[in-house]
Amino acid sequence: MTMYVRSKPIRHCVLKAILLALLGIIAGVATSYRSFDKRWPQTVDQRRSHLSVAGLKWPAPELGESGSNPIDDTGKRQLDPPLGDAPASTSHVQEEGQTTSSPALMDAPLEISPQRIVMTVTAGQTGQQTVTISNQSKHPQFLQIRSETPEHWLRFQPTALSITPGGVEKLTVSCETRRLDAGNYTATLKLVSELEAVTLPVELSVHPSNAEKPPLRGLGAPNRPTKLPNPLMISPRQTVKTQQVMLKKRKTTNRLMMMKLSLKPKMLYL
Amino acid sequence: MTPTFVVLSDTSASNSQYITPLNGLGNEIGEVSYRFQIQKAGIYKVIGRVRALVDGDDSFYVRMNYGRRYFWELPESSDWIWRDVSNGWARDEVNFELEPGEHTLRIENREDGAMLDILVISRLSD
Repeated sequence: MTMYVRSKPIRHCVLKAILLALLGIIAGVATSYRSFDKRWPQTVDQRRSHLSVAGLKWPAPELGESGSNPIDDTGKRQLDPPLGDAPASTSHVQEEGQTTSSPALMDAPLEISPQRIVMTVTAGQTGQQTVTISNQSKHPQFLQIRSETPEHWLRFQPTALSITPGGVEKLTVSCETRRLDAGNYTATLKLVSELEAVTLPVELSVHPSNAEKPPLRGLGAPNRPTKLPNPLMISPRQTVKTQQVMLKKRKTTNRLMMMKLSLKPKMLYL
Repeated sequence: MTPTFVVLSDTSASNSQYITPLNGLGNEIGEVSYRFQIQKAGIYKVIGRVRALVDGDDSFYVRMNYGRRYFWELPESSDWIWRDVSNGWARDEVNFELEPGEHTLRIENREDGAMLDILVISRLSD
């Protein structure tokens, strides 16, 4: 009882401390938000600079000077001319801190066609589609192409490219269905440029192969297809082979054994 | 750049110029070197805008800092196309793990006539 009376003021103190801490947190969050709101760029040009500060830099429209070129934090930099004579086309350089801020870049600079990839492929086959990327701006655009979720069946080339003003480049997207079952699959490619990240959905429909399987040998007369029963009855010492399962009756058992297969019924030549 | 490689003009190339080991001068002779600096360590890819008109003129060797030499087989195309540097007929993926500092990328002649317009180095991850 005594303990209860004594602990009451202590509980009040603890509650007060918690309340004060909460008020402090709320005040801090409000101050941070106001500060962030002031810092966040309001115009596209300002946002570009903001992105540039974050490490997104792109080739400048002018030719750079020869020598060694630093690659920025994102690792995107076109190379110097080769040592010795070289074509000017290989010498696009952007110095650290250089950013272009042309009003032309405010428009969506990239035009991508088609905007969605749909491929229908027979199982085991390969599908391929070409995507055309146009640079509508007056400045070179650097693009990185990434798969949002790495899918083993999805391939694309290249993984990065540069497009001259008004230029058109091609992205090849292909699918490999050797390890895929029939069904529908989706993936998403992202084309990340200086100002935008364009999403390119990929839809793949895999149809089952209609190719006939060769008849199995050693199981009776060929050319007499029999539907595999499910459940399958196996006589003593009888072996039934399919491409996916091999069932063998134990020698010690005399009675028939029934095994339920989890597989779809298969055609067998018995 | 060794004399085997020459600068040729083409309006569809960047700045209307590209380099190639001149067709007829022979395979496996000559190279072109690029020096560049990176500030951040990571895994990098090299991507090139290339063209290979026929089967016999469609490959380079690629080597980073005297490291392993990769055989970069290009797809045949009458257009300029972007392709990641790959290795072998199967076009296995090639990544370069680079530390900050200066590096040298060498493009060597494997089959004369293969054409290179422009290269891009792109960082994948740290």
